[in-house]
Amino acid sequence: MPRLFTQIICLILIALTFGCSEKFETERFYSMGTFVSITLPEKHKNLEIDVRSKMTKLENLVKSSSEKANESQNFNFTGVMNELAEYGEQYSEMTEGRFSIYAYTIAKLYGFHEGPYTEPSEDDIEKAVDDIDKMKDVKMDMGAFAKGYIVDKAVELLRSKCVDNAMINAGGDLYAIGIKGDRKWRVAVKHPDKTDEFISIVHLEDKALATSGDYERFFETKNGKRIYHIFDATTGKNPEFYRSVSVIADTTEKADALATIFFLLPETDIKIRCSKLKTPVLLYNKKDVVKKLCGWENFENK
Amino acid sequence: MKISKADFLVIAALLIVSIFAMTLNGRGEKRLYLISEDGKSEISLKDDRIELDDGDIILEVTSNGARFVKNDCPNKICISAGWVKDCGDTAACVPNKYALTMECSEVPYDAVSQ
Amino acid sequence: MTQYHSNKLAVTGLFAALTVSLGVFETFIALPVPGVRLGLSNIGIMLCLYLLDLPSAFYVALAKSILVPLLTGNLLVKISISLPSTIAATIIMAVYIYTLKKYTSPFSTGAVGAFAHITVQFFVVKNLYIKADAIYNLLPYFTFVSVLTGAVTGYITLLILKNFPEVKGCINVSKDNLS
Repeated sequence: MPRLFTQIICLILIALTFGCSEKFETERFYSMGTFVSITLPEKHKNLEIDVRSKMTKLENLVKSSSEKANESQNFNFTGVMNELAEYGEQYSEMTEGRFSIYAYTIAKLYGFHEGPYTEPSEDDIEKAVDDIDKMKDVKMDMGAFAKGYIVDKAVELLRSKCVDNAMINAGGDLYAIGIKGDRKWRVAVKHPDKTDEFISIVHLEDKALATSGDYERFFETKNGKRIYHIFDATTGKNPEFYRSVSVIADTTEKADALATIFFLLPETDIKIRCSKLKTPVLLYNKKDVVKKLCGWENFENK
Repeated sequence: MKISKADFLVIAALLIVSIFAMTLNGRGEKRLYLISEDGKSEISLKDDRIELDDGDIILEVTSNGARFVKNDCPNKICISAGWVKDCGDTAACVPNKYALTMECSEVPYDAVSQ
Repeated sequence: MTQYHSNKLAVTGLFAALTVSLGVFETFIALPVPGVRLGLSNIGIMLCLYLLDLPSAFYVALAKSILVPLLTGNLLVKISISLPSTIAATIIMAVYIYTLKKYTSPFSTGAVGAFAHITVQFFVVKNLYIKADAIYNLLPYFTFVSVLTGAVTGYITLLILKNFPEVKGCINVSKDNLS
């Protein structure tokens, strides 16, 4: 009997020592208009400062260049900004002009991002749409994919320092490098209304995920209509298809951009594009129905 | 009818399952953090009222969680976010760069996409 | 035939009385962990399972989960928690006994029953009363203690069973009923 007892104690001790693997630490800081969290293995945790300064530097570059261009109306860029502008051009073509980095001309009328929020007159909206068409007196904003692009640059930096496992999450636009311990990174997609509910949990390894939602930045008009930050550049209005769109892609820039772009398109158009681009999509539409397209389910299973 | 080895094995197995389950959430203690431009600081969960920025921002803290009761940011998103009390809850005031977040070491996900 | 039935009925009644009185008795015994009870009343259910059959164990379980709350107060809340967990524990113990009887004794059956009982109890409390997942964080601590107390009641049951032959006359029907 005493021998059996010691055996039991041994078994318990073995159980306790189980599951000890690489430890991770998460640091958070403010950048790009959102809270960024970086999860790194404990042994690499000092890299957080490098990542942070790289992201802040890029953020300031994009911000100051955009402001300068909006003021001078000269939209010829070089370097990083040129790369971003080219992406913007591609995405605009892909949506027949519904997506545009110049849609900020419209968003600004409503008071995004500086406030105060107002509902502009139909004439003003029409004029803004017309201005974008003629490229006259427009305002440009790379917000739809600059955040993702900057996350990718941070990922590159971490990869160059031989970090095999990490995660960078910039306000929901995230990239998962490698795995976490003995499993893939688990990412939950938030429910549009309920703070503690999720519409999906996916398992990611060397993949990016981004979500756009009408709950991120919005205001309500006097008659209770919700106006949010994504605008169709051809109508000057919010698209009326979805509450939230999530995309899994190989780069955060792509995931980030497509999450916004798919917001502007009906489901049938998304199906065609996501199967061509091989990017799984999760939609939460206005009827509160969750739709999983292009192999999203495969990421929900481990 | 006698006590057998199998009896001990079964009891040991049940105890091990219990202990293993404890280690899964044993570290799942809640920690409340205030994140600002200066970094991240832990707030202890006890009844308190915290004023920041000369009273422009006021936090109400209880033993269960915390919330923003006053914030000079334009959209008041962080106030409408309500109580930060469960694992992973966050209330962020992006314009003035303050956020409250409840962290627990074991939640079913590593990150939230929103 | 009638002898068999009335014998069984009498023994079931005996066990039910034992179970209920132990159940009431143990509400007076405080354990160091709040909310945990010894589970002495499980002795009666186990005796039923070992000496009689599943239906009579059910009667005893039913009597216990209705009568003990009736005698100790806070009726509806207690019944709603105790009934499902006692029935579930009875079923699981029955399955455990009928599959592993050759290799195990009531010592571990008590632990298994207590483990099942507390787990179902948590599930019920979570879904009916405290609607927060956070209570599951406490469950492992409770299962740990329950397994220990369950082993103790199982051991007591074993001792009772060993001394049962003295009254064998009234329940020797059980022998062929068990296998």
